[in-house]
Amino acid sequence: MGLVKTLSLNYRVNLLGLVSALLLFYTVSSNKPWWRMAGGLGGEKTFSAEISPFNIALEVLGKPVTVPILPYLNLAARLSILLAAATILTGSLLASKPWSKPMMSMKGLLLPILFPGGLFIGLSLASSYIGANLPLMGESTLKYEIQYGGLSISTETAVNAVLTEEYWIALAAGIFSAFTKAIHNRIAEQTDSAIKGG
Amino acid sequence: MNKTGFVKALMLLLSVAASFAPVIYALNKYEWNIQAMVMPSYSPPKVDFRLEHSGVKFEGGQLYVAFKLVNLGEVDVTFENVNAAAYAPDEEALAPVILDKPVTSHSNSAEALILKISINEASLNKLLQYFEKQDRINVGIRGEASISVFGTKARVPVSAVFEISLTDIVRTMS
Repeated sequence: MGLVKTLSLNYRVNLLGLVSALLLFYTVSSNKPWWRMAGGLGGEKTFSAEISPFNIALEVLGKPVTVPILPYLNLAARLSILLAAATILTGSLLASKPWSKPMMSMKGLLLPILFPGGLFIGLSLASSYIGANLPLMGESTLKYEIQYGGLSISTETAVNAVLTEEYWIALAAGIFSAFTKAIHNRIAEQTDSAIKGG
Repeated sequence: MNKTGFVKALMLLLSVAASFAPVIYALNKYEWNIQAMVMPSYSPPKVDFRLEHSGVKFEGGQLYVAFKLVNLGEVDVTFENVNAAAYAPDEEALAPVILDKPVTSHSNSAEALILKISINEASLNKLLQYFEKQDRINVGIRGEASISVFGTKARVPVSAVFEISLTDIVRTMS
């Protein structure tokens, strides 16, 4: 209980929660991608994908690919994490109040856990659609046959995919929010017993 | 309802609103046409190349065939290599054809693309036989070009025809 007492400034403020909230605020305000894929050589891009739950940018041969629903899904994810960060911050500052317990959201962890799974499913669908393998991480060569004007054109594109540091920051924020919830439960137990003890 | 219950209910309400309000707004905006919302839209760049024969030159046992490569599209292309063959009017293969030097064709511009046909004594004699019957003959070039577009390497079938006369060869040799 000593560690919890220290991390909560004598059961008054959840310090880990403050860190978690700040990391979540950073994550939600950043437009940098969590995952990036680029196809092409020598600084030229045949295609590129820059994806995070808050922003999705796809380009093929220098032209954007747009899906109307995506900006709205991005906005929903941004609002959810913004809400989680705000409630964690408020709950952490009011840690001594028993009603602050439901404010400790786990959404900050859920998103970075679901993100690679969503990418994997998306890449599997895209790979089966184009008939070539797109990597989740690392480098590969995409070999592809294009039928154009009755001609068969065989192409080779170097592909590079990487999870960016923004993703790892988001995951760290999520892990912090899980610890925050655990510590908050301990603080709540302590507060409850103090109230019962009079 | 106690305070904890109230906060729980409020949190649930806010979470549901944050998650679903933008999607419901989008559905409303697209008049609940889900297909229109999930269909990707993409306008590929215009690709339009024209190859116009612009001259021949015979030099050092090589026949240089110049083309004007006109790029009317939106895509820059680098022709890195050509692996083709020249064919006589009766479809007999005359000689191998390669690209003299790599050419980058920029959007809305014209570049000179020169193909080098390696003529040896046998193929020269074969060529001269056709001129015994006619003044001018059509020589076809067919094969593959290695190109680079937006960082992708591609092998594209190429086909071109040019007209050549004995006078053209003699003039460039003198």
